[in-house]
Amino acid sequence: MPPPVITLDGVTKRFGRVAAVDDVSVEVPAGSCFAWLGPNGCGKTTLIRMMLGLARPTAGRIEVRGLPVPGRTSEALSRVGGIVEEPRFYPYLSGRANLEVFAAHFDAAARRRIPAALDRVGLTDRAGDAVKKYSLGMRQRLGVARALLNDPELLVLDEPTNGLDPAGLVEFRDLIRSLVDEGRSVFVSSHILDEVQKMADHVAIIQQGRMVAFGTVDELVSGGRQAIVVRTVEPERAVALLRAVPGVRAVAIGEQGRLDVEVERIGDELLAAAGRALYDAGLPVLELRPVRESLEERFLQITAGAGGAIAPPEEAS
Amino acid sequence: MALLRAELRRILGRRGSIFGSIVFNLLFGVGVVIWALTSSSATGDAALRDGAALLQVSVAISAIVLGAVAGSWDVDHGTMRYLVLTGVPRPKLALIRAPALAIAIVVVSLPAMATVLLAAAVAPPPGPQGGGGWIDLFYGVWVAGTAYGLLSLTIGTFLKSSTVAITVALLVNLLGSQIAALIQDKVSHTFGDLLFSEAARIVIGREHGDVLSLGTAVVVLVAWIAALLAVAALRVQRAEY
Repeated sequence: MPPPVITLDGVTKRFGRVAAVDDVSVEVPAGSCFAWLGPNGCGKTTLIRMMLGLARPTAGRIEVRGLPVPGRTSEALSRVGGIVEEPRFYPYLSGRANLEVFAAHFDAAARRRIPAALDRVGLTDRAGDAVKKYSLGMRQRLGVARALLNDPELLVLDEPTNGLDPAGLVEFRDLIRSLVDEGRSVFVSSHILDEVQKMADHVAIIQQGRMVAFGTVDELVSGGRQAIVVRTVEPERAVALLRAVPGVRAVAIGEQGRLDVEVERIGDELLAAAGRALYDAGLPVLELRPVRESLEERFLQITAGAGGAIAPPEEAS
Repeated sequence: MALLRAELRRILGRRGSIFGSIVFNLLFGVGVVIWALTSSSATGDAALRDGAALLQVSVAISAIVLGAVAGSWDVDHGTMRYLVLTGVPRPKLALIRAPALAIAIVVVSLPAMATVLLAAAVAPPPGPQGGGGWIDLFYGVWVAGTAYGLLSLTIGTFLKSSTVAITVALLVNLLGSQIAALIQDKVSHTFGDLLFSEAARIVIGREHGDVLSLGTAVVVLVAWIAALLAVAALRVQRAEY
């Protein structure tokens, strides 16, 4: 296992009596896309600001690229790019001029990376236009280009898909995956669950400042209710047959005679066993499929306090 | 140098405040020329010195505005956190604004000063001219602009809105001399002379104060500016973005 690119240990941020981030501990694996998922106002941005040295934690320890933040913030940030809340620029300067201004804060190589960064986000043709003429989506893309100027090991992107149209979302997802494929680590915060499911390798769910779940996307999704749907010509007979299949917990008849079969764990063997039980009894099988919950459904379960089998944060990390 | 160029690009790129300052100063410069050409009392170096006094006012006002905006713009518009994210030490981000502002003040005052100097060369006021008036013009205008601009820069660093920063900076500079006079009268003459506005007045006018000599006033003013910049750097170091 490579060393974590971000380590959070008991990180807390209080504003008066309110804990915006409350005792969060997690290790973000290097070389993957990590999503920080939660509703608006749950503390995502506050946590990112602390990780990037923009705000100080009230308690706890933060390490970025193995370096303490605060403490060795400049060194830690030297290979980190980021977008926090929304990308802000000098609106009176062109996109290219903005990148030149920020590149001046890095080494000389940063300036040489500008054309490639603009090309990568598809803004080369509009780079000469003043940023005040850019749409929010274009500014998001320019924000990513700026984040690439210092050849970052880690990109921290706060709600980066805001303002992107459907085509832009697909492009952005591909961009994130290509960055991960290059060996970079990407930390994304979002409240758009569908995007996270398609983009991220690991997900942490935050609610009211506390991390309530952490794992890979598959782990999170599979930690929910496990069930299969069966449709036959004789549902009443099928109920008894399916109840006898090992691994089946309960069977109920639903709409249009569909059987909702709750199982211990969905797997090919169980699906085959269920099909065989019906076939051997002479019941034609019209439909037999696993019920796969989306991350959205799991998110709603978890944040409603029904975490199911998902490992609690202290175990997961 | 790259940081200074970048900061200068940011300041000079704000064309509204830059062109506004240039036009404002230019109007004063044209006013100085008209006054010098029409006034019977404007003679030789004295005419340039009087003109310098007028230009000092306009350049100081534009420096106050530019300084307040330079100190507050990045926080007001959300770009400060991206400057901090570059990993450049925060005090450096704050302090680099000072030389950039000083250069910007030269840029916005040059057209007006060139106008005055051109008029003086084409139609020199009658009377003796030893060149001292020209020196007064440059010295007074730029020292005043830099001193008041840097004070406003520090004020702007503490405020999150450029509009508020401009207002507060103008008020502080306007009331500063009144407060200094009040302190001189009611509290302590020596203490009043040590205030920023009094030290700046003595240095800009190359006068001798009641308590401070010109040399001491220069030391006091430099100490004030160093302290103000240190406070600005500390503010940026401590702030959360």
